Amino acid sequence: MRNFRNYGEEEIIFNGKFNFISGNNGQGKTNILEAISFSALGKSFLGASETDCVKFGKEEFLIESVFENDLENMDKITVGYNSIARLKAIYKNKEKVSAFSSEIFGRYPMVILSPKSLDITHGNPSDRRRFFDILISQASRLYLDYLKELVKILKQKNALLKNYTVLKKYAKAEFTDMLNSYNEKLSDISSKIIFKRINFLKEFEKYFEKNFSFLSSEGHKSRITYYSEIFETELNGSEETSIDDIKECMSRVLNEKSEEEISRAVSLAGPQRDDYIFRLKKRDGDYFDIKHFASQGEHKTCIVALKLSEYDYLKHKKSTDPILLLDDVLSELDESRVSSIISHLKDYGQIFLTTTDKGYLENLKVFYGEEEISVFEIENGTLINRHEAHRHKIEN
Amino acid sequence: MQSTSDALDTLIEEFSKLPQIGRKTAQRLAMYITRLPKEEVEKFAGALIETKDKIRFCRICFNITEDDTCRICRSDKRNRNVICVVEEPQDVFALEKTNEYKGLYHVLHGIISPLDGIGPDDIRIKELIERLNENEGAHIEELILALNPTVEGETTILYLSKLLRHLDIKITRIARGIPIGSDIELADEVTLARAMEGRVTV
Repeated sequence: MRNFRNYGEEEIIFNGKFNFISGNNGQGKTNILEAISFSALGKSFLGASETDCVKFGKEEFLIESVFENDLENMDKITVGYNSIARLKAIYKNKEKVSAFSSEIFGRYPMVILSPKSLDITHGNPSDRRRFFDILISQASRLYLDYLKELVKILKQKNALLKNYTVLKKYAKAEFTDMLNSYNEKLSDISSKIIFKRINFLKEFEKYFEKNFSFLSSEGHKSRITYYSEIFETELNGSEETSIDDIKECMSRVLNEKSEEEISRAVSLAGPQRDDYIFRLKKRDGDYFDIKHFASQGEHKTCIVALKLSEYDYLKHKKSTDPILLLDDVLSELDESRVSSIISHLKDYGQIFLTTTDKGYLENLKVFYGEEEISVFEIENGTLINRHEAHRHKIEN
Repeated sequence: MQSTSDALDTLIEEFSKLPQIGRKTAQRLAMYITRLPKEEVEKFAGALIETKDKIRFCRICFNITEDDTCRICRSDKRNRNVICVVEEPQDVFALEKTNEYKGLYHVLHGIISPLDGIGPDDIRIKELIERLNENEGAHIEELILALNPTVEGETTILYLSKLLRHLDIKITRIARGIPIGSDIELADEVTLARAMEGRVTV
C-alpha cells in the first residue's frame, strides 16, 4: 500500500493462518485491517470516507493485494483513490470493475469483529438492517437488486408526496392513481424483501443458537426475531408465510397510513423501517429484549455469537473460509469470551488480530504451530520487525 | 481544455452537449469536422437544419413525421383495433423492425417520474385518452403497454391501467424475461426471477 492513512509505502506478506498485529495505540494496526477491507469489500469496514484514508499531505492512496486460494489461484485486486478528482477505481487482475459487481461483492467473504460491532445490538434499527442487508446480499445477489429497487421506488414515492403536498402539483384523482401505483409496486418489492429476510433468519437461527450456547456459560438462550409494523407479532422464521400473505399485509398498512403519509409528505411504511430484535432468555424466564435490558457482558456475548454465526453462514453459502478480522477485541470484549473463541480458532481460515498486548501471543502458541503464526509489530505507520515477520515466507 | 481557436472550442462545446458524448469524443468529432471538405460540412449542417425544420409529431400518435399524420397512422394495411404505447419514437423504430406488429402506436414522449418533475400532464397521456374515446371510426380492442422495465416504466404501466380500467379495452404489457438465443445461466438473477414470475403454460 502507498499513502494509506499513516503509511508511506509498505509491503506485507501475510500468513495464510494467523496474523498477529501488535503495537501501541495510534500506531496504525487497524489501518492494516482497513486496507484489507478495501481490497475485499471495496470500502472501509469502519465506514470511513476514502478522502479520510489518504495520508495527510498526499493526494491519493493505492492498495494492491493478492488473494490466493487453496488451489493457489491468485486474484490481484488494486484499489486506488484520488482525493482531488474524488475518484475511486478498482481493478481485478488488471480489469476495471465496480465495487458492486459480482467480481468483487461477496467474492472474498470477510467477517469483522471490532468494538464498533457493538453498535449492532446497541444502536439504531438502521445499524441492524445494514448488518443483515450486507450479509444477505453476499449470499443472494437478487436480494441486493431488490434493495436497490426499493430505494428507487421510495425516492419516487417521496418526490410524489412532496410534489403534491408541498408544491401543490397534480389534480387529486391523478395523484391518487399515481400514489396507488407506487404503493402497489412498493407492496410487491417489500413482500419479496421481507420474505427473504424471514427465510434468512430461519436458516441463520441454527448457527446463532449453536454459537450462543457455546459462548454462554450460564446456559442462556438467545434468538433473533423480525419486527415489522405490518404484522401483528414479531416473526422468528418458524411461521409459515408466503410472499402473497406479506404483500396483502403491506397493502393494508399502506392504505391505513396513506392519509398520514400525504399530510406529512413522507413514506411511513415498508421494510426500510423494520427491525431485528435480539432476545435473551435466562433459565426460567421469558425472552427479553437485549437492546434495552441486557448487561454489557450479555451484549458482548450476543455480538460475538452473531459474528461467529456470520462466519458459519458465509462459509456455508460461499463454500469457502471467510477472512476473519479481529480488531482490538481482547481489550473491548472480555478475555474469557475471546479465549473461548480462540480455543476453536483452529477451525477458522485466515485470521488477522490486532492488539496492544503482545503477551497474548503465548496463549495462541498453544493452538498454532510456529509456521502458522506471523507476528507484525507496528510503530508509527511502519512494520518494524520486517525480517522476522517474513522469515518463514522467505525461507519457503 | 482550450484549443487555439474559439470557433473550434464552440464546436466542441456543442458536441459535448449531445447525449452519450463526453469531452474527449466531442474533441475527436470536432477535429474530424475540420478535416472534411467544405461541401461535406455544408451537407451535414444542412441536414441538421432540415431535420429541425421538417420534423414534427403525428397529430394522432405523436410519432415522428414530416406531415400532419405519420405513415403508420395513414396506412390502410394496419390493424386499427390495437394500439401499442411506447416511451419514445425510437421504440417505434425498434418494434417496426420486427415486422411482426401490425397495429398502431402511441408515443408518450417520456415517462412518469416525480423525481424529475414529470407527471401525467407532462407526457402524452391526455392525448391517448382522447384517442381512445374518439375511436377515429374503429373500436380499440387492445392496448399494449411496451414500456421499459424500470421502476418508472412499471409505475407508469400501473398508473395507466388504473386510469383506463373503466374503459372496455383489454390492456396488456409485453413480457419480460430471457433474451432469445442466450443461455439461462448467463442471465442475471433479477431477469431470471422476473422470467419465473411471468411463466406461461405450455
